[in-house]
Amino acid sequence: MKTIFLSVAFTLAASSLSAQEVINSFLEKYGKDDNLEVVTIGTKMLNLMKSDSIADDDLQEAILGLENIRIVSCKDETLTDDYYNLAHDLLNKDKHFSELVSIRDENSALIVMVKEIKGIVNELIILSNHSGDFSLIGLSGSIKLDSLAKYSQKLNFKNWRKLNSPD
Amino acid sequence: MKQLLEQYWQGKTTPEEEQLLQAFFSGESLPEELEIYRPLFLWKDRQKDIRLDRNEILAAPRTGAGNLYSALKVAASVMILVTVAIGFYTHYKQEKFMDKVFSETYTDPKEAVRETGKIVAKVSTLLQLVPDKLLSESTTDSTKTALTNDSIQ
Repeated sequence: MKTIFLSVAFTLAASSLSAQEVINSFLEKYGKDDNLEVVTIGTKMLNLMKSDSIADDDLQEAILGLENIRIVSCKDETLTDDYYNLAHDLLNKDKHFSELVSIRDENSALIVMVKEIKGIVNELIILSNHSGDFSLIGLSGSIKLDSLAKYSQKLNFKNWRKLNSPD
Repeated sequence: MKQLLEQYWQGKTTPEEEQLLQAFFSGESLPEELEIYRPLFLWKDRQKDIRLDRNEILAAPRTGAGNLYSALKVAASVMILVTVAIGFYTHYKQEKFMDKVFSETYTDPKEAVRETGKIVAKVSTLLQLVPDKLLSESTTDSTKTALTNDSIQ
């Protein structure tokens, strides 16, 4: 009875640990390094953007459902490869992540991965290492990929209209 | 006195008679044949005078095993205190670190909007590379494969 109880408790603990965001896991391990910069746009600020209409309608639509945005970056060329590999390992360990886009050439590597549970995309990660510039961007919440994808189209269309307006 | 002594050996003496015998054997001069019984009656007398002082009990030196047990108790208490203190300190440092890392970077909403716009634009541009079907469907049912550098080119 005791063994069964301990096994269940351990399994629950393990599963709760695996549900932690990848960026959180990365920062818990390496966040104390002085070489890393962290930018956080949390729930409070995102809600402020939505409620006070500070952001335009297109951006508000794109960030609908987002709970937080985190960017981890490093500009030290000697460390970017290591950080990239460490982040990549963390992503590979989480079986819920699937790769959407992967680009690699001589000087750069970029991966876009999403974590989807029960039909909802909870986390989107962009991991890149470009010419000695490491960045790990994480979006979490209830992410609408199509809304996000359309944002740049709308932006491009607005810019095009601006460029081609008679004024 | 010999008769009394005889009764004493048979256990037939009263307390008063025993006191008499004690007083007799406490005396300085005794018949030679009775001298051998003096230690017995004097021993009983000496036992009555023995009183243990409370302070003597407390100050009594401990045995080796007792000393070791006390030392272990103290060491265990100190270790527990140190462990708890280290735990609290580590937890405090971790909380401070997590606050620093996970607290909002921007206090000005306009700056936050600007940065958010940049990030969302970057994400959006990358998502343009993904077929529309994959963006709108659940991946648990789809037969999607990731786009690679080769397939884009």
